[in-house]
Amino acid sequence: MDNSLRILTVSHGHPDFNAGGAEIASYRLHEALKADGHASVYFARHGETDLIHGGTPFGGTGRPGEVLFYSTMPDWFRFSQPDKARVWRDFREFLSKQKPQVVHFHHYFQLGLELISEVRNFDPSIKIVVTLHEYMAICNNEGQMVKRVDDAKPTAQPMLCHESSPSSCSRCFANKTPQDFFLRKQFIQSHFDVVDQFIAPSHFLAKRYIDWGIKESRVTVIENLLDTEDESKQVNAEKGTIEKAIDTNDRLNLAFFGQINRFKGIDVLLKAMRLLSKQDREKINLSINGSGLEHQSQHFQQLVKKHFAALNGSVSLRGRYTSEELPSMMAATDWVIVPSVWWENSPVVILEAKKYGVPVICSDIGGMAEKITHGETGRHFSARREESLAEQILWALNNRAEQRVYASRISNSYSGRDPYHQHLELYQSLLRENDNAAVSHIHLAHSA
Amino acid sequence: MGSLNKKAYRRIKKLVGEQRSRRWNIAARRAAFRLKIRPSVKPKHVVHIAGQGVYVSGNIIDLKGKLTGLELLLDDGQCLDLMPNMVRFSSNTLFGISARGPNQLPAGFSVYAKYPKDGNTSCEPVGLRLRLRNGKVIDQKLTWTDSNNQPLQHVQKILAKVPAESDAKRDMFDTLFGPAVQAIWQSRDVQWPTVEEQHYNKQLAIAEPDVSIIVPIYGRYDFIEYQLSSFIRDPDMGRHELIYVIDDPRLLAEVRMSCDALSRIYPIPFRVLFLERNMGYAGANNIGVSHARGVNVLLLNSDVMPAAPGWLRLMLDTVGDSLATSITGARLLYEDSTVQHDGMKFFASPFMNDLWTNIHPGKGMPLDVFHDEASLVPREAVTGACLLMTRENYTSLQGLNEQYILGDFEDSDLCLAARRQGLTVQLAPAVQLFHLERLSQSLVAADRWKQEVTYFNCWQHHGKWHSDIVSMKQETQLEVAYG
Repeated sequence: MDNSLRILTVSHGHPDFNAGGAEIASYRLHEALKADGHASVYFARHGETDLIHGGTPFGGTGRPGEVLFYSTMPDWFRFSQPDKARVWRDFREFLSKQKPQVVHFHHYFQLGLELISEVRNFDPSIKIVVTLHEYMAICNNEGQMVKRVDDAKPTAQPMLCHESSPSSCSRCFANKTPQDFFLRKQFIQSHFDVVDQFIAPSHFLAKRYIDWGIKESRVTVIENLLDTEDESKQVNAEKGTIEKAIDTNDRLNLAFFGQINRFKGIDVLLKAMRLLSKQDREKINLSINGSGLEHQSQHFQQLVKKHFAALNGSVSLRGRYTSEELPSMMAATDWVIVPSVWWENSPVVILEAKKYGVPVICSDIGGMAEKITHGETGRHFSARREESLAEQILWALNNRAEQRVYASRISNSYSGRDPYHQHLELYQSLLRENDNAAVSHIHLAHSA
Repeated sequence: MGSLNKKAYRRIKKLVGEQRSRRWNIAARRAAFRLKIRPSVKPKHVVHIAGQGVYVSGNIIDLKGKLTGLELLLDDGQCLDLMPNMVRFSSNTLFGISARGPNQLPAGFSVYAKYPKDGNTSCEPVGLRLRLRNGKVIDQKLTWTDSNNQPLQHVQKILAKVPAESDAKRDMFDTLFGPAVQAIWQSRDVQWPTVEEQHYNKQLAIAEPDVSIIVPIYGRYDFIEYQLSSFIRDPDMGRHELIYVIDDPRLLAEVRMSCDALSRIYPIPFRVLFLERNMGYAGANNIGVSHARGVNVLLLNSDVMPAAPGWLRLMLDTVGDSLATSITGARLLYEDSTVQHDGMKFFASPFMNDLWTNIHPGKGMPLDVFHDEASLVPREAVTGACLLMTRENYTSLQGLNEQYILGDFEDSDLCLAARRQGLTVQLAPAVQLFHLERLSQSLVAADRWKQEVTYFNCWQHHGKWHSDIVSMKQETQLEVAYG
């Protein structure tokens, strides 16, 4: 009997266009499934008008097993597909061609929640899996669960939000009423209702969604997949060279990886650096790897540039990087810093730090606190507080020998290929439910 | 400006330019003199309500108090005295100066005169007769518009005359505004419009539904999608039928396209009635029920969303055997889980000159302070936002009363009519739905004339049901005045 599965992996973007965490995680999973002999199709939404073929939303990337789907969504409030024919005609047509056994949504954003329901409408036996990548269904503020900052007060640090409710959400958005938020939640939950299993990459995120109203039994915690098979081998081979790199460096190398925006706490990090004495600062080399500053508010850009000027010599801004560059960049790093001022879920940078065996200094909240154990695989500081982060940087500076101990511990905590097997097990167990249902139908027929 | 003033103005204008200052003075004096000696009546808004009466509103310029009588001349030769029921208002006439005579009466007037009930019922007004102190009689022609030509605009114009705050407001409604507006509204064309029916996902519909759910739509129609996305997760909905009544001709094309798409995303059967003319809340519901096939009907607002699946089954089971002898409401909640509706009481409101109004005891209070004595509790009235009864009862009560303007009091009218027929009015507290009240209310601009429409509806409701309410209050020994 053929054990290979027909899987449809749906993503709101393709890593070719936008290398966000969810896009990368979904693409890796698709690649791993293919490598393992399963018939996986990667269904990625895009908004590139240049790539549209006349009269169809579909297109290709040139690689087998991948399909592009043009869709835009002007209304980000309730994630509804504005063009319903995309759902009942085009997406349905695709389902009838591919005939998947499992459809795994990595997002509904820019696609429309209706796609999820359409799978159920098309064929009730198809298993539907949805990975929750941030808190978008719960929070209209880009799914960050932080209070929205008044535009008139750009200097204010956004406050963390612990729970959504129609009235508290409407206070963040002056143009939306509590009733609007009530309808938003009802609409999202109605479409979520057909999902067989939700996947949360962190326990913290799972808890937030359970509090919001998803039944606990419907959420499974599985870490994002980072590795294809080949890469794991490569990492093991490279381990030796990474250690050598650390030996030859006399400065403490700190690094930030990721988008530069206010949620990622880059200002907290820069302020912490400024709190250090000049002598200490001279023993540190901080590199900021990432882009996106130009898309931030004028005020935020000025703030960051001001800090850069003051930290001249100890901070370098490196810009965007490719995944090929990452191993050597990680190899040159003693500590990765994750200073986010929002909860995070399962940051890709922490996963990568684990993979390359680099210990982490991070905020003590949400997904970061969950993925890094203080005193074991990294150091926690009080989120959003620069003096607390400065203290931890100082600790790393004064305890340089500890770095190796932490590095080996974090390396051991890496989940590697486990997430792939957990996903596969989940798919298979869901499909077994179908078989069981079919069997019980047969039994009923016999007894009748 | 009346014709006399225009004449004076023309003369002044003609003379301006030649020996301006002197002549101007003379002309102005002459004009003023002529005004002083001769009273004039300038009707501005005259509405003929066929077989009912006539409403006349305008200005009376009578600086010397010479006018002693004003009569309406009918085409059959009869005269109607307009003086007894006339209401005077201050009104800016004459170059912005309010004209007052020696009797200090303001210039503006409005009056409603009923045509004689006996004799010719198809009479029409032809003129006005002014009677002066010196015995002289002046007849003038009168032009009018028919009340059936844009009845709502006439109502709007008439109610704009209602003084903002007045102790005499209720009296003015008794003699003038009430009967005039009532006559216009009752004699408007109430022919049902052409109805186009679309049946979506018909193959999934059942032949004999338990309940026909009637949802009128006006203005916002995105609620249809919210309701469908809620109902589709409720297996019990398969036992009922869902009828949307699109009571907004502006939306027909949009809604038709939207419903086609929605029916493919949400595979549950629903019917949509497209009305080519706006009928108002009561009319839309009545048309909806006339298309219903269920044993029972449930009136439902579009902004009402069930709190849990199985709500309608629970409602039917709770009402049980009393279905045929009752009207039943549900407990409605705000989105913050406080109570939006737990039944209504009649209250003689001091803010409405002691007219009976509907109040909502318990509104806004958290659900956990309610302690329910039974699964069905008696109420004086329940809201039409969610109301269950048998179709037979609805039909024998002739449905919702279409004589209220723009949706008000129809539900309590229905409850009172039901009581008169011996039905029980009750509420099932365990049946809970969310009612996003603010969203639908904000669709109607909260301007002055809307307040007066409410007053009119209240006045009409009071006149019809006052004695019933008083005897009900006595029977049930509930307090007559609330609080």
